[in-house]
Amino acid sequence: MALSTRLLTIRKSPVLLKLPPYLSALCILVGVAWLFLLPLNDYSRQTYISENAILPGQVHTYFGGSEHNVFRAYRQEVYHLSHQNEADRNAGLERILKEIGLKTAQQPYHYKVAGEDIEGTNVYGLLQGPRADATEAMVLMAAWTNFDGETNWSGVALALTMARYFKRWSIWSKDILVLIPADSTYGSEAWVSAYHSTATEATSTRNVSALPIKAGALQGAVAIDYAVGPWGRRFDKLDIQYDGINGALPNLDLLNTAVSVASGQLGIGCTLHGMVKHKDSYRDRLETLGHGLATQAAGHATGPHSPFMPYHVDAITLKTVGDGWHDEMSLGRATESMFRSINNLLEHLHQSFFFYILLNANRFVSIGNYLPAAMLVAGSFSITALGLWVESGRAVPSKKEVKPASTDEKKKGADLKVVRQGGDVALVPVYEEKVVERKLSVPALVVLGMHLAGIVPLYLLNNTHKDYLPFALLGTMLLTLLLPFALAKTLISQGLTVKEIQITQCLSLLLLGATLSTLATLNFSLAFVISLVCSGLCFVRSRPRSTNSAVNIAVGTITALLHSTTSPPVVIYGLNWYLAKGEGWYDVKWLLYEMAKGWAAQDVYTSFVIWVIWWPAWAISEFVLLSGFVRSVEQA
Amino acid sequence: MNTITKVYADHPKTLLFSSAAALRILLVLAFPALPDLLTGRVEISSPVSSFTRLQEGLFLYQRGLDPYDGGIFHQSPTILGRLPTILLYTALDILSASNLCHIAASGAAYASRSYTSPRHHRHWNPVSVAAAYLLNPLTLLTCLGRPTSVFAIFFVILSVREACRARSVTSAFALALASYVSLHPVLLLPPVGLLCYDRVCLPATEAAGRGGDGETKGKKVAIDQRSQPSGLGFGLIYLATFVFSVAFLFVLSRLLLPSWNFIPSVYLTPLTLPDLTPNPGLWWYFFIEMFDAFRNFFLGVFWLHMLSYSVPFCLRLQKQPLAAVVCMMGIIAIFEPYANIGEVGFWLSSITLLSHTFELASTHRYTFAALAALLYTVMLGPVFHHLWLYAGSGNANFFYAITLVWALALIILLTDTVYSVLRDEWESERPEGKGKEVRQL
Repeated sequence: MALSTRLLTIRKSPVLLKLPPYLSALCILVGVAWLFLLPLNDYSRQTYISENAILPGQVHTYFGGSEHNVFRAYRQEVYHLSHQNEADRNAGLERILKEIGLKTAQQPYHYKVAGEDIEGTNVYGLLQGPRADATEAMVLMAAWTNFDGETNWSGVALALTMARYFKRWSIWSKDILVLIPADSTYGSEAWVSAYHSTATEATSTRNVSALPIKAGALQGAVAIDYAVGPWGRRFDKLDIQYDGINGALPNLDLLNTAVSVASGQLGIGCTLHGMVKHKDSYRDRLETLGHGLATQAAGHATGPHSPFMPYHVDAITLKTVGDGWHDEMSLGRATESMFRSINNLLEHLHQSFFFYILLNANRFVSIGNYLPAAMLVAGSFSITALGLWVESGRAVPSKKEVKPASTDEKKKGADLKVVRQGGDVALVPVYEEKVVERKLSVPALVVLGMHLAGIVPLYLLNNTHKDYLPFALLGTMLLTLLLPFALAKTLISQGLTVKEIQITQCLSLLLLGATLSTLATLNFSLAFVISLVCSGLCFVRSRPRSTNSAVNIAVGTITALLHSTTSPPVVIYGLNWYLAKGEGWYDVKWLLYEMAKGWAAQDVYTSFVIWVIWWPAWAISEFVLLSGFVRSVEQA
Repeated sequence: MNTITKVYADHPKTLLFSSAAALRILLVLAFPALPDLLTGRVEISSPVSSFTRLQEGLFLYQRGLDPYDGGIFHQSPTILGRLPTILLYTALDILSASNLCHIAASGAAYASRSYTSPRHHRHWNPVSVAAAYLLNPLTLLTCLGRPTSVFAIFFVILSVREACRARSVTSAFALALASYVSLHPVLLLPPVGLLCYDRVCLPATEAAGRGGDGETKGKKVAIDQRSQPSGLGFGLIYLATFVFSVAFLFVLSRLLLPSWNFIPSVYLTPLTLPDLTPNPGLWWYFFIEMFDAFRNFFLGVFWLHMLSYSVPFCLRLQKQPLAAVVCMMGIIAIFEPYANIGEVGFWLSSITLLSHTFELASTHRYTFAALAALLYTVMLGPVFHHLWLYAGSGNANFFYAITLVWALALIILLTDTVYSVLRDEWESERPEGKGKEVRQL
């Protein structure tokens, strides 16, 4: 009780009221600085295998010898199949799997995104484990085309060889599904969503047909990406891809198993995010962290393993990189050893971390060390909101009492008011008695309305035809610039007060802070990136500096344009310019199309976060900024 | 725009009710999967009120089986008529809102027989109170999630409304219906009885007070005690009506069902907590962790804790009986064994009945902090539940931690309400204390 009364008394302190902007700035600075500390040895840890059952690299691998001939034969076969049309190719793949002795099936899928069709057919086979009771399964994957669009000849051939090799073993206590998706992203997406779906009929936008053959709960999935033609090519290192959709990550134990098997047992070096030259310096660690942050924030698929993560199936892709002395047999032995390890599992991978940031293949930062960074930045919004709330409830002191900092009671003794109640009469200080009513209805409606309005750009940018997507973004840009101005103009002519504007900003920031903190627990990187871009919103106030209306209009336009540089459409243009994949900064079609594909076919919620959380918060901030100038121009 | 404002000025209630009904029905039409999704949420459906369990019970009942045999169905028997539709739930919400409107209009919140709040002019428009109920997102979600606790809420509001109209028999009967649907409204018996007694006595007091000038309002006036009903007699009659109504409802249920099984199944479930499905309340995690030897002891402690508020609230808030009712509703919403957001939403909306004291809470207490904490927990709760059960990357402690914060925020709001109601009373005695910080010594 003592503490709470103490808290109540200090909250009228004027020093405390001035504090929120500084406190917010401090939070943001500390949050960003925190991220730069993470690559240091003191804040990160060496990876370790947490689950005892995995025993990575403890078994002798027998893949080799005459299997090499089998592999070369399959590679030749796959090469021939690649010259046939899709139906014949799938029939050929299915025939091979059937000859090996697997139960096989095909699954056609068809997505319609932004007026374009994405379609293909997955081929897969089920190897029933001799000791399995059909309750658990693992997946061996090799997409026909890899994530970069190259044909994955050797990968598919290796998967077929492994299937033939695995079929001869009697040790499998889990079923093995050998999956050859037609494409690296949508094929496995269609397959895994159908695997976990109880519905049999397909919908018009997600035309995924049901799977005729299913096994038990998936315990893990490993994809092979080895896009090398019939003449073969040796590789230097294995790039381990692990990012799932919406920033979900596989259990760290699976990743550690891959690293431990490849580097410990077979002497193949492992890389992350294609960083072949990783010297384990601070700079390289920071770069890996940055890559991880970027892919996680985008939330899009990074390989055939990505769609498995939302279904709580841990999955990784092994991609061969560089030119070295390891051949396909080393990759095969690594895969074999991994499957032996997954086969050992007694329960679903759960021991190790699900939230981590990797610095190199065997160093990571755990959630306890990195989450405070995002929470601090997101917390800065809540602090500002609290400050604005207190400010909006304060009575404006009269001119002569501009500095109410004085705490001596005698001064206030002058303004007393007689209060009569019943028969009692009392003297009450006037200033103390004054309570400013906060009018909440208009601010609440503005905030709610803005967030609902966010659905408009979300819909436009995900349902327009591919060719018109840039125009949809231009339209959104216009809306972004004009809506806050129109709102400020209308509401101020209707008599919106400064206090109400403060409350609007307070509610908006409060909501933003709460949403981003929540998001940080789901997708740390996305929350962190959005918080950083939004961090300026804490410092926007509705205070015109000048009484001259011409100066006000000029300054207002300039600040509004400056503020606009952190608005979602401008950031999208900037991102496009930075990535430089289109013809120029204005050619955003490919980026918007990727985003639309992510939203419609992969269930990526990044678009939702951008348009329904970030965009409204930014628009309200712009509204607050403009309202100051509009007010003083109208008054002048 | 002008027509809307005109219609709003002329028929605010009609506009509010029709738009609230339209909102609910449109949501169902636009998102047909939404009701089933919400029905599955643990925050909305508890084992004693879930719509899916009602379907199960109804299925058994319609096939001539005892619905209470399976240990799945723990809801009161009269609901077993037919499956309630969204339309019925919408209608219940609107009737509840209309009753809240009547309660607010009756002025019971700020004027009782021995006390009139000095802030009585600050109370909200009754339509705003109804709007706070109908447009409350928690109420909205509960309506679409269709738990049977909505029936209990409706009967509780009805009972309070009848108490405000000084109709003791109907009030006791409505409260009996509420307690029959779900057990805990029985805890409201003392405060609602007090409120009803107060309203019965009020006309005589007002008649006596009218003799003097306006200044005497809210002051003690000598009243001929003989002209008023005796408190003890009234209490006995109220209690007797309640008991007879409950007995009548039990007999009626027995006629519908093959056995008396329903009594332990419906009323022992909240008492003994056999089903530990997670919910936003404070009990489930505690009793999961509990060693069996201590289970009965702590069940007793938890229930005694809830029970211990009912009479003290009546004694302390004797002058403001409606405040006692609202505070007790808060205790139930926070501490009940199968907590759900529906009851919390109802309680949060019914705080607006005490709107004349809001300025006290917002200037002297932590209302903003508590509401911000509620906002955080409303978002983090479902996410942590998802991380625990679906993504598999969290565990039960995530969700439990959030339910603790949720309960903490609600408790702060409850203490703020009690503070502002008591301070309002105190300031009418000592106006010189207005606007000053108070400290507990």
